[in-house]
Amino acid sequence: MSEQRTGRDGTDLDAGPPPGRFGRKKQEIVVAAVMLLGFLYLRIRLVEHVRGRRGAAYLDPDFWPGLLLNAGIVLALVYLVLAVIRARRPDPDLPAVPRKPVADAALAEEEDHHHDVALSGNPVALALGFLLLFGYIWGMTRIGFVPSTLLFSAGFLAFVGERRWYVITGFPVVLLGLMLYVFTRLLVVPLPRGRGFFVELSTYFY
Amino acid sequence: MDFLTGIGSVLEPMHLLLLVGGVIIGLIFGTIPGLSGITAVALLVPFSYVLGAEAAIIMMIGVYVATSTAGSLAGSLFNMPGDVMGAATARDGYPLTLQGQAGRAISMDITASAVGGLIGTLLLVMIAPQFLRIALRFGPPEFFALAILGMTSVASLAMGSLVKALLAGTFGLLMATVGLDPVSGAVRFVFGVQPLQGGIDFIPAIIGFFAVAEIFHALYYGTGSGGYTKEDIKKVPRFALPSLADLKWTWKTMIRASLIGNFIGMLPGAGSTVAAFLGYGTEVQISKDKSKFGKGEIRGVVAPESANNAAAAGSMVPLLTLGIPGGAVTAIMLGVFILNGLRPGPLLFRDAPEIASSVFGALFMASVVVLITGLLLVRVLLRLLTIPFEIFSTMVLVFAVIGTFAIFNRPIDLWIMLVCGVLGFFAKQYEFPVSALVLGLVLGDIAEIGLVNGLNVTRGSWSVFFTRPFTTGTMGIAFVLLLLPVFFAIRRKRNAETDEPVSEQLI
Repeated sequence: MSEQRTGRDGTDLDAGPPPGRFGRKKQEIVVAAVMLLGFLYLRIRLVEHVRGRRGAAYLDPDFWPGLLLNAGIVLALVYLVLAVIRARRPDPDLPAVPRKPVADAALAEEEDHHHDVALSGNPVALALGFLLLFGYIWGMTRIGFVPSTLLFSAGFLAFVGERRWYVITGFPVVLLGLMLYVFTRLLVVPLPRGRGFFVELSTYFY
Repeated sequence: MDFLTGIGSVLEPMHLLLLVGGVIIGLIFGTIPGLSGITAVALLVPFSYVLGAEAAIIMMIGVYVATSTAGSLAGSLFNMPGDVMGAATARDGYPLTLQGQAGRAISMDITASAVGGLIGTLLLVMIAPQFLRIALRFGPPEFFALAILGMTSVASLAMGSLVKALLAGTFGLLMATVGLDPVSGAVRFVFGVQPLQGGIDFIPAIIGFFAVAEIFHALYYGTGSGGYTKEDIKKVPRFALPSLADLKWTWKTMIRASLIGNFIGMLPGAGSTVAAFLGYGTEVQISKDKSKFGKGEIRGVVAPESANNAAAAGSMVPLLTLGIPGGAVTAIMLGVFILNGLRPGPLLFRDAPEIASSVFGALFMASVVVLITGLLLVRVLLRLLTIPFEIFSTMVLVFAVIGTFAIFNRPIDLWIMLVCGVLGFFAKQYEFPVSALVLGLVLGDIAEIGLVNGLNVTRGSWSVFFTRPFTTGTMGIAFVLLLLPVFFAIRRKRNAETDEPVSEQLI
């Protein structure tokens, strides 16, 4: 077994995420506050978001959501208070967080909570990955399944680091062929055909 | 309902082929970190339209049983389990590998899993009919109490923060309220998006929470590729067979852990991960020499594996007899039953007894198939770890999108999957248990219908949830489960094992 393993970008997989500027404890406060505000907003505007006859039955349709939102507000408040208390406590002077092997992490997870380290990674990669998937879903209903899948597969492969041209061009075709066979022949699923010209294009395939 | 009839049904050529196919898919998805059995089972849902409920469930059981086994293979070899439940096995499996006994760890891992699955199935066959008798007397308050028990057990037994687990569960329950109210038909939380009136189906949500969120997580940290080499894989013998000495040494452990796992599996919300850690913990506690554990004790490999596979069988008890899924995989199976016009619960055993028999038969046969294929194909499976992230992430995303669309042919499901992928990413980032969120989403309707109908019948009296014997007992257990983490946190503080205040241990 190799002692040190590296990710596709050359990072040490056994090392933890690097410390961020905005500490983990502060991030927790923000998360708690956002949740609290979200639950509060929905609770206050509950009547607008539940449209139905009231008074027809013993319990109105907003009874259960109201109950859940009340519970959510209380829990988010507890979470916020605990997060603030924790943020105010001084940190043990620990430099960085070596990521534990999953086995240790699962058993002794609370140790990681002691460290005020932001879980920072690569938000640009995340955002681009999200946008690609967003574009695939958005495009599928407009240009149809075949072109959108080819474009997404090739684009995503290139985005995640594939540089061999025959893989970027060949793999999407193979994948598309497999998916078309399974979903249109075996499962007879009416896949999206797109609009206008793309409808005609799609009929060549399924 | 006949166990032998079920075995016979599974041995039909088509069913057997699907079971073996399911096992192989499960072994593949379980071995590769990030591709869980939940993802595999969810992506198979569209196939149920063609295969029918019985065949689809047989295939899914093959996947379920196989992933429970395969999740620990990479854990024992590289200390990087394919799923969290494999982490318990890695505690002793990895030290064995470091001592040059990888083959021993892997072979006992697979054997213990199969034994756990077999014992779990036999227990299921014995216990399910008893449950069925009780289930026939259930009314809305009992179903509400069971939903609450599921939510509290997933929050209490999940490793990590209790507050976050409860928040995740509440959020999941709230997500389940989107769309038409199941009692009055009122429209709730659609925010002007008309297709949302159909509600948030949990299968697209589960695909988002597990498959998409996992890829997002890998993109964010750049940890998609494991960096495993063929040399790493060669440490495992081509065919990993257990030794007679190890079997003799561990057979009691296997039985003990299977009993524990099966019981835990029956609790809605507890799941295989809890079973694996409890099986491991119990073995450590009763061992005369605790110091051996964590250093390559073979019983430390056997106990969690037997427990988590027995839990997989146990989780079928609430699903089949009550129609209450205890976790994500059984929730998807519930979805498959419903898609095919069947409703798990007491009536399933009356209306479609052959399906219940097939479930029993499939669980039993899947363990046998996992034992054979696992021992023979272990090195081939581990080679999967060398597949580049670029290839499998692209495949998973394309399959997730098409698989989600294929279930109901609704574009809104794709957006739900995407949003749940983002939510799942943040949940993982800030350590909110996704399992609690999913269980909330799955049990939301059951809980609401149980509560509202119960209160409607009693004209608003909550006493109905605390005066009937079953509801009182269930609510009592739920309450104890809820207090357990607080109790342990206070005890840890008193024992001065940690300097952290109690508040620190609850977040």
